[in-house]
Amino acid sequence: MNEAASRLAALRAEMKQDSLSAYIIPTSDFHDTEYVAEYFAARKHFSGFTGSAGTLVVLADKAALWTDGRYFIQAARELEGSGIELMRMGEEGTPTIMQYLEENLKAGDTVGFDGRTVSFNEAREWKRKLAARDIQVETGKDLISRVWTDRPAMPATRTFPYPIAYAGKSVSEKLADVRSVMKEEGARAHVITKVDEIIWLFNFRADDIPCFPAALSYALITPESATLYIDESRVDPETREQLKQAGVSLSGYDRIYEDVKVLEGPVMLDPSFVNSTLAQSLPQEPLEMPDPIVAMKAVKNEAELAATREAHLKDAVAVTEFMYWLKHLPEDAQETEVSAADYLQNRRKAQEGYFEDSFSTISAYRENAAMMHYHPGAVNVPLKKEGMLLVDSGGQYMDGTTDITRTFVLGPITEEERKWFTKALRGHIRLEQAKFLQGCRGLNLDILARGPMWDEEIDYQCGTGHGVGHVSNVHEAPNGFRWRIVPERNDSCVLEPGMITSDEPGVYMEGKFGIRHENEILVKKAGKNRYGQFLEFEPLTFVPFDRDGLDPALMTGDEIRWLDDYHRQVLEKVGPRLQDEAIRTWLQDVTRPLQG
Amino acid sequence: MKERMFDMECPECGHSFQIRRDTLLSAGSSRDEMIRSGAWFRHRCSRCQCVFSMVHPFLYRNHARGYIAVLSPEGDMPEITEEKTVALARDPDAFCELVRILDQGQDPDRICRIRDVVRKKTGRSALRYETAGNGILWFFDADGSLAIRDPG
Repeated sequence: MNEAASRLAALRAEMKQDSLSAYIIPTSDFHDTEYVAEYFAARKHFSGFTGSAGTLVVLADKAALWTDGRYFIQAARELEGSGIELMRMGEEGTPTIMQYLEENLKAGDTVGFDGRTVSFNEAREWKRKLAARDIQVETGKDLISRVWTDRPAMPATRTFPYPIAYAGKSVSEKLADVRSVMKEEGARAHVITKVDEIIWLFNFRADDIPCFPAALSYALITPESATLYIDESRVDPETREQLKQAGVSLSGYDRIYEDVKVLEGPVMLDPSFVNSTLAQSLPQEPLEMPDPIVAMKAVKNEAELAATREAHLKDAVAVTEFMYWLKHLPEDAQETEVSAADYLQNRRKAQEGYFEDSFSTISAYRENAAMMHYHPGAVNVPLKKEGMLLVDSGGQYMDGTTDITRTFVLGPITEEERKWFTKALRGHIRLEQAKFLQGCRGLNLDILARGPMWDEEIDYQCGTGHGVGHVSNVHEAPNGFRWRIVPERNDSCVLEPGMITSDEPGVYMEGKFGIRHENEILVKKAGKNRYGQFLEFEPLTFVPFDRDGLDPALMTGDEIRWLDDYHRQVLEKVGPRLQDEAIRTWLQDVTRPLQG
Repeated sequence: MKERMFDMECPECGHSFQIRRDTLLSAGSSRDEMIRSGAWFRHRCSRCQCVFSMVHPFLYRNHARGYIAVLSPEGDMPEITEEKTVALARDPDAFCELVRILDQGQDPDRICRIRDVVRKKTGRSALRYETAGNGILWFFDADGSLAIRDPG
């Protein structure tokens, strides 16, 4: 019996004791955080699947795991021998979790989960659907803590203040903005559970979650008061003083579950991510609406943008140095996917203000790159002077968060690889070149990126881009590029000036290769006339695209001009920051125009 | 490998920033050459582009050569229980010179004595030890290299 199977057996024993016929383990923590601290990695612990998205459903005699297109190949490999069936979300014939439960359970059965790890919306929907089949739902079941005996401790890192010079707005100003929305909506209180919102609102950061400088905490805002729920001993003196000046008081982390029970008047919360245990603790039905902070922080202010631009230039130096190293590896170099990722991290460490990666680097050679969210390390994969290496990586700097993908050509590639390398870059360029009327959503523009692939009747089976936080989560709502609405993703808002989104189309050929080209791009105003306000994108990422993979004959004149202009900017902005003369000279060469 | 965030200030424009640096490294990685050449400590200021050496506590251990080199701006020697040669420098240039000396199995006291004599004789007070071979000791400074016969 493999490890996952034996852990499931222990869980099933607890399910039996509590008379549960099914137990649901989502990926989430109590704050609906995408990347969770090890304490919350229950889905990974019980299934063995290490991807960042997925839900495990355990029945008495079988189990299944739902994940999306990014992880199909990886999940299939990691679930081998566990007895857990892989459910490929979005593929024809794959049942939803509810359909699976309805098919496998009978009237009178009970489904359990820890309500703190499931949103109010989702829990309510599950209850409604299962009640129609006379299946009960128990939301207060924390079986994980009973079975996972060597569970890591809850993270409790020290906070640090986030300078106003980079934040651009004080805590008081941000609280005033939130209270203004509360007043408009007639709310007497606002419950905040998202940690990215909390660190933004209160201008501090911490280190509870790898790659995401947040602290596990909650907040409660009323017209007269503001409370941050966090272990007080974790709060540094400067942040404490900053909060005090803004009238924010501190209270224990779990205390919010008691405090919300006595709230009076309409309590505003976003049911799509406030956890169901907290929402159900309110004395009356909540005032449900999209959390206004999501939009407030997605539109970056001038200080945040200035800082972000600087962070990107530092990151560009690191990635350019990495590219130079990679392109100059000797024939007998003993480098691997992992050592390449380490080298890149060391280049980032040499940059001012870098403190950690913004996500685990994807360093994927040849066919491994066909797995969109592949994590190197399981097998030591040596790099050779042939094929392509896809590296998707990013850094957290004191002044900004970065995310970049480049596909590097290490030696000879096939004509098929060259064709798709060029097509994917065409998609990237077409989106980045777009000019569009204010009011457009990412949905309106997605075809620009996907078009060159759809023309050939292939698809990359995931979104084209995601919002990016400011010294926060690298995947931020509510902006993104996607060809159809996926409600739970909350990434299809109207694009506004100040929003930062990634542009990352790709081509993934299972068993052969994977290609992705990614920049972060900022929405900014273009011309305004009788047709309305036009918008366009400003690139924030400045690293060369590897011209060794290109077939310019497959590109339009416009696309070549864009690429030449982009490379000119790379040389202008990054060249002077490079310390090594040899790299500067090389950069001149790799950014020379395609069009003479 | 241990890391710490350090507060730094550009000596040219006064730009202050934080930077994450290793404080402990063992020989045997791609960084050895950077340490020997001094590139490990050099930094280009993101504001004025001036290149300067970052000064911070650092410990470099070379098991094969049996030494530990310590960079301590304050001159404090950390408590080290390992039975190895332990040598201390107070600034990055001196530290990198020390590593070059120890990597080549030379005696730091002897080399530094010879270097100081050469400095005095030539008036080139910034000379640093570079390498040795065939009975020749090489030193260098901004003006270039200088070779002398090893007095033994």
